[in-house]
Amino acid sequence: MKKIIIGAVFALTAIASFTGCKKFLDINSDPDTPQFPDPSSVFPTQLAAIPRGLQFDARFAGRFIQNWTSVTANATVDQMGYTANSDANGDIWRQTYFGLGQNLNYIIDNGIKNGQWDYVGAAYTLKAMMFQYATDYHGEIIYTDAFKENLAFFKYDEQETVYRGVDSLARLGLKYLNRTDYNASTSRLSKGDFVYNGDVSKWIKFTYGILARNYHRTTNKSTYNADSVIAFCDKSLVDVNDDFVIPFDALKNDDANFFGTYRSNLTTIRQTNFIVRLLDGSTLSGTPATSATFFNRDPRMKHMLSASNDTTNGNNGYRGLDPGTADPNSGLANWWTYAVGSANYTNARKKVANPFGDTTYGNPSANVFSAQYRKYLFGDKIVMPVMTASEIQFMKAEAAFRSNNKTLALTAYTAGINRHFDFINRPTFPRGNNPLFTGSPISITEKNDYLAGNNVKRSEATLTLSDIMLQKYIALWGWGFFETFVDMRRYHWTDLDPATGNQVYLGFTFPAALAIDNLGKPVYRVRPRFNSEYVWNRAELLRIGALNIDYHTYETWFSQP
Amino acid sequence: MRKILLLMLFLGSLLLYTRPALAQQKTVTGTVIGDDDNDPLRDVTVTVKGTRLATKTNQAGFYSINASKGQVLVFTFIDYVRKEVTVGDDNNLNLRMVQARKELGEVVVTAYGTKKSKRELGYSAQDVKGDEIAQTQRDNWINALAGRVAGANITPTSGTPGASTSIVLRGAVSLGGNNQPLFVVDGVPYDNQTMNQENLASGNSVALGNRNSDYTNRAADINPEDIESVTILKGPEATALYGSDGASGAIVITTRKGKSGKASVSYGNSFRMEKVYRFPEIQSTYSRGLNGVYDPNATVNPYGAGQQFAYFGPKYPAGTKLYDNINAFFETGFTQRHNVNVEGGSDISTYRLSANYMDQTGIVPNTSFESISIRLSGTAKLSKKLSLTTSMNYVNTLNNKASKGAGGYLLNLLNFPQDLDVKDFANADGSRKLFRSAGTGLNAEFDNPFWDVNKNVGQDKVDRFTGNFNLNYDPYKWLNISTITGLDVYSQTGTLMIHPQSRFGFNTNGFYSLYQQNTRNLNNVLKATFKKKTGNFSNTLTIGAAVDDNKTRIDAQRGERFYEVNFASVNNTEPTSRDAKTTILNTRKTRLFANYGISYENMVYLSFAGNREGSSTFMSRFVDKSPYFDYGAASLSFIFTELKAFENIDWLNYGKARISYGTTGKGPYSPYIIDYTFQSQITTGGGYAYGFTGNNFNLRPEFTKNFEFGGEVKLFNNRLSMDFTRYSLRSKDQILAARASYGTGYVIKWFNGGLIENKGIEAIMTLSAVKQKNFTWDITANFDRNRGKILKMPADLPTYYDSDTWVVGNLRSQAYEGAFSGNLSGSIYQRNSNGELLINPLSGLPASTGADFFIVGDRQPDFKVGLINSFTYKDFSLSFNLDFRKGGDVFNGNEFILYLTGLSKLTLDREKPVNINGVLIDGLQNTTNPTRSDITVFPYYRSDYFTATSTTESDFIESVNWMRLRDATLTYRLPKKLLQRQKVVSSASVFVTGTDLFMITNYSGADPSVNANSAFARGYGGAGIDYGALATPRGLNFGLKVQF
Repeated sequence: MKKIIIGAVFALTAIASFTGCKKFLDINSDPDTPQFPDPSSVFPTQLAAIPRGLQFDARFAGRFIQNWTSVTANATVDQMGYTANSDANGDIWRQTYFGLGQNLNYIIDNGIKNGQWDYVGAAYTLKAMMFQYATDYHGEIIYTDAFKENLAFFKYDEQETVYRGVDSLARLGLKYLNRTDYNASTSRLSKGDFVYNGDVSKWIKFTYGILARNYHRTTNKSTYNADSVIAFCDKSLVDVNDDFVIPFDALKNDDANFFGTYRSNLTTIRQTNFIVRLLDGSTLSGTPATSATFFNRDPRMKHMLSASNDTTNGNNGYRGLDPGTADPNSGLANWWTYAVGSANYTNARKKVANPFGDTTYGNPSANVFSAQYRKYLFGDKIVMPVMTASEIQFMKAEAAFRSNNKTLALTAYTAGINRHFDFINRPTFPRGNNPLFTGSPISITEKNDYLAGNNVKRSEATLTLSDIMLQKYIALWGWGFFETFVDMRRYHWTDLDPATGNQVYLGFTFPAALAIDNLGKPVYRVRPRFNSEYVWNRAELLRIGALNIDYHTYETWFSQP
Repeated sequence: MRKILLLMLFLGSLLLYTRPALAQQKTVTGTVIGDDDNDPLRDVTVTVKGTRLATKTNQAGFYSINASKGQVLVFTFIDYVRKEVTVGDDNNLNLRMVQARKELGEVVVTAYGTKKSKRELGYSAQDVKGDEIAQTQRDNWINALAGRVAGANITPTSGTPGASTSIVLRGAVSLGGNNQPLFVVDGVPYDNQTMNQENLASGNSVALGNRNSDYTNRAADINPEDIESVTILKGPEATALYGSDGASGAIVITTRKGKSGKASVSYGNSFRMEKVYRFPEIQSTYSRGLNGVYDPNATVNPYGAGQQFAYFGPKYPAGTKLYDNINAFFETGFTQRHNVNVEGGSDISTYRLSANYMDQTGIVPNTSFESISIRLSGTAKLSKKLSLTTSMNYVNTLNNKASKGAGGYLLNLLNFPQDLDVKDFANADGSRKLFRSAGTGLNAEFDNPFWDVNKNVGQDKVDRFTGNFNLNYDPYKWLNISTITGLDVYSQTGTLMIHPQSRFGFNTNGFYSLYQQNTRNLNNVLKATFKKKTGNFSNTLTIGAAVDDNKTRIDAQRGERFYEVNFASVNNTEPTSRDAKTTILNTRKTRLFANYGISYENMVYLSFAGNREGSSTFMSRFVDKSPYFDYGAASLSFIFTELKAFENIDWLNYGKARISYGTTGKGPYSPYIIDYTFQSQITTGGGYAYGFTGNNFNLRPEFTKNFEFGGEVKLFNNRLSMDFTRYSLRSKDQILAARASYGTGYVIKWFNGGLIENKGIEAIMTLSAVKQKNFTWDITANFDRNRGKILKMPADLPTYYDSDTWVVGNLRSQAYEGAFSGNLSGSIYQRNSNGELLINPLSGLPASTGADFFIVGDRQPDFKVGLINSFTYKDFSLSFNLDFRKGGDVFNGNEFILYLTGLSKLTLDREKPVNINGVLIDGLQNTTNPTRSDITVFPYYRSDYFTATSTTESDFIESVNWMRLRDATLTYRLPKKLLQRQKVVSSASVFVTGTDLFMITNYSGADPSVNANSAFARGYGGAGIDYGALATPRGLNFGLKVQF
């Protein structure tokens, strides 16, 4: 009997080991996290990943283009330089390949299998968008070789190749977004899309916007086709309800806006004199801002910029910094800690305010979610825009202007300004995000006064490229850093408008000193991410010259003739 | 409550004890055990001298024979020395028999409780006796192996209670995987996980990279008093026996079992005091400030890790009261340990019950460790052919912990101003006292260490049950069938609170994290052994199958933003801030194995082993993958002294040559990496996205080839023995998660590849220097040297680094092709093509390479020696273990950070001008005509002389030698005469043990044997990176042992 039992046990274990073994071993699927999720479960993370790339790098690009500058003197980035051996300014790179890239491939592959065409289309569009950002930011990038299994080293493609790739990715996006043969049992885009709530028509408009950007960047080339740009713009975002904006829940660190007070990433950031002068009337109306010329002040200013306590500057307290220079008063403590009337008291009130709000000089609430401390796009529960209808109008205006259709240019220019007013005034945002205006929206009177004022051109004859580009600069200030970076490089920062002989970016000056590594040249691209490329893909960097200290000053392909 | 329970248990066990009847009888009974392994000897012939009366011992070594007082009993057994004993008053006569031919019967326990004669082994296997381990009184017994095992690298994480200890045998084979050996208790794998902090729900500004908290490695749960012996298997045979889990060697533990015969009760205790006495040194000449200007609020912020007080001010004015804050902080630790054993049995069954209680308060305020272990084991002979051994063990531990590393109490204590009293850490209202000017905010300075240990507390609790069931069936003389089933279940729960007013809790307004880990490992082995002797050849064939099913689940939660500032609970956090995370790690393995051994006349032993293993970690849902891989081993042992030629060499008693070759296959150490690796995201909208680490559908098993040869001789009547081993192993196709270009679509990706070589030698010498009746002196010396080298990088990657080890500045454990496996990478000074120092033209100071990493050190020691001396003089015995190490680099990270903050004594000559000779970085530095710079700098006025950009990590690498007295024990056994006056106590001894009493070293820091990470760290880990971990304290134990 015992022998039989033992024999049986032995036999059973042996059988389990031999035959049933593979089945016994087939437990290599993570029970706590699905390894084969539905595209609808992956899509929300893709939307949330967009600001991670853009906002992280905006801390650098935003300073190149003088949207803002740091409060300290001679910061390398303010001087159009870079930090060596650092991942700083490598987050678009990260998002292109890791944050979005591979996940989008997953959505595309599995979406096609499941017939989830809306997900597939939207994923192609986002992929096109990220590669567009990446190549414009870094120049040559990994495109053809990207994501190939079993590769550890990657060849870089020319920008022209990537441009063509973006074009075809976006068209693939359109192809799938336009399909209507859905399987009723699959989950639709409305499930994971917290930007457009699954409205495919808006995704189509957004995709045309990506195409417009792609076609519009080559303005300096003989192949530039303004008609295509206009055609794409016409199919793109129409009004603020079409704007592609990413909302934040602001319940904890990871779902709060990177620019908000909770995450406290802008404490050393200050608005520049360049944007202050664009909004206070100095640049556009040609008259210095004083208490006597207050009517030239843009009504958008108080919603976008922060004012300091001291209003004796004749500009209602609006102050800015020049890149590379420090705020001389930033070392002072809060003004109320000094004796009233003392020099410190007076000077402390002159400190340039923080983007978080008027008269805030440090982060007022770094450990609580506060709807109170916010200004414009700098709050915990405030959207991060990716593309707006206003931007589209300015693109169209420039394209029309370049194809000599001044009528259309003026119409689009005016519409662009109007859309930006609408953007500031928009009452509601997805997921209950807070509005952007400070206090109450801009009144119709204020808007009309501005449109009828000295800052705005009202005739085809007087409209210049400067007007279009500077209004676009205003409309994209605080969010469209990378578009503006492209625009300013297209005009080589300081190109002159042949029609007027003035600089297109009127009033823009380089920092007093450029970073040493620049060897006297302005920035034209950003070095690939350090811990991705400089450590692991060095041979390829050597080939393209990216190991040279001034690689970041090499002009990118799109702005070359 | 725990203490009451223990007391009850102790009293209960006393009641169990009943004194045996003492009436004189004509029947003499007793147990015969072997001197070498304390195992009962079966079939020993017992004869009454001069009569024909004879009997044999049974399986339990028990005999019973009629004899009267004055008669002589003769014990004979093949290969053992004949023994004659005169019958006295006692009717109970136990004895030990010594082997006639040494070595023949010297056995080691190998896989699944298989005992093998040492002469059979074609590989090295070292034994350590349980008594020896227990006598060191270590709270983590693995530390007791240091110096006692050739080839073992033992690194405690720190000197605090409950600290984890990592052990690596020979060298680190795996660049990114686990290099720790498998622990096996009575044939059943014993889980030795160290909690992986990555499984916690992490929080904003609370870094959890296996560096700021430590978790006990779970093999420390074994009560050293339960250990009979430990066999260390280092070579390929360990894998051949235990499968891929044994690829890094195996620590095979045999526990004590009850002995048949009269019941016995023993009690032991130990009281320990410990004190930390080695600290990084700090200067007390210069005050807070910068550039020679006094400023009590001056800070520096090396590497953006946080504002720390800067000590670049003027000298403290004469008469300034300076506090001895370091000594004010640490306390004398106290540990008590009680141990009760009850054992007994008959020739049918035996039992043993042991209970151990330990209560330790640490040297760091508010830290403690408490553990209870109860073990019951029994053997039973169910029939003539069937026997059963089972044991059950319950362990309960409680560990109160403090933080370590950056921002932890030790570094903050060092940085704390000496002109302030560190004990003054809270305001009258209980809030945190700030020492920089008000208004700078709670996150603008690090926590006072007292605040840290009192307010930022961590705790771990463990409930663990292990059991095994071992059935042996001998249907025929030539066949044995056995099965071992083991169960290892534990639940570990833990909490971590970061107070809202703390430096790291301020940003989140408090942080609370908790986790529960449940581990359940099930293991079953079934094997059949056939033995057949044909002529002079003995054949043994074992075939078997093994199944493992291991499951660990970690549920972690966290919350932020406390309502009540001092209340530690997740319920006290804002609901919207709460997060949860579950990690389930489930792996299964199956294995078919066969071993065939053939021997010729106890002289030549040849063995072959083959394995076919299946690992669930290879399975995929999307691609067709085979989970199976094969490997095997062959070994030869040749006892050359059996040859006729050696017969007449008197001084050579024993000689053996051995050689073995084996391969090892291994699957991925982590499950779920073949298929897509998604992770839950907590960004807006939630959902899943790929984790940092990308899957790889194409992973193959990794293979290691191991070649080993050696020999052993015993000389001069076995008084001197020497054992020598040389090994080399090559590991290819390593499976590791390596960083690569993001072009992969991931930050890290699983790759196969690379070639790592480890070569080394081990030598063991034992000498019985003096062997007299009243005085003996025995010496054991263990020597080892290992060189691990990376011959080829996985996937030809330019480099691989372990981010957990990147704890300060630009220094980390990093691998390159051609580098040694203990490589450290860090910054060096920039030099031009002629090797001249490059000078930053703006500062006039030399420039470090910053985050551009260069090879700066190799942590592998040149060699290590453990020297154990044991003396006995009458009833006294003394033994001590000296541990020597020569070479091997250590990064003195404490000194580095002290240097950057102006506290290092190396900064004391700051008033002396320094001439910096180099060339300016102006574009001409690599031309034939560089711009020379010969700037004189007065460091006193130039704090930037001491900043990170003009200091390099490579300057803080030291090649370390040490001699440390690991432990020393003096025991006095109460003389028999004394004890004979009473009948209760049969033996008693008292002892004094000291641990880490002194260290002589050229190391400038506190203790080079600490770890920047917990024992969880993979690859080479954080050993040799001394940063923010407390030195091992000096301990003194005294106690007694009584047997009833």
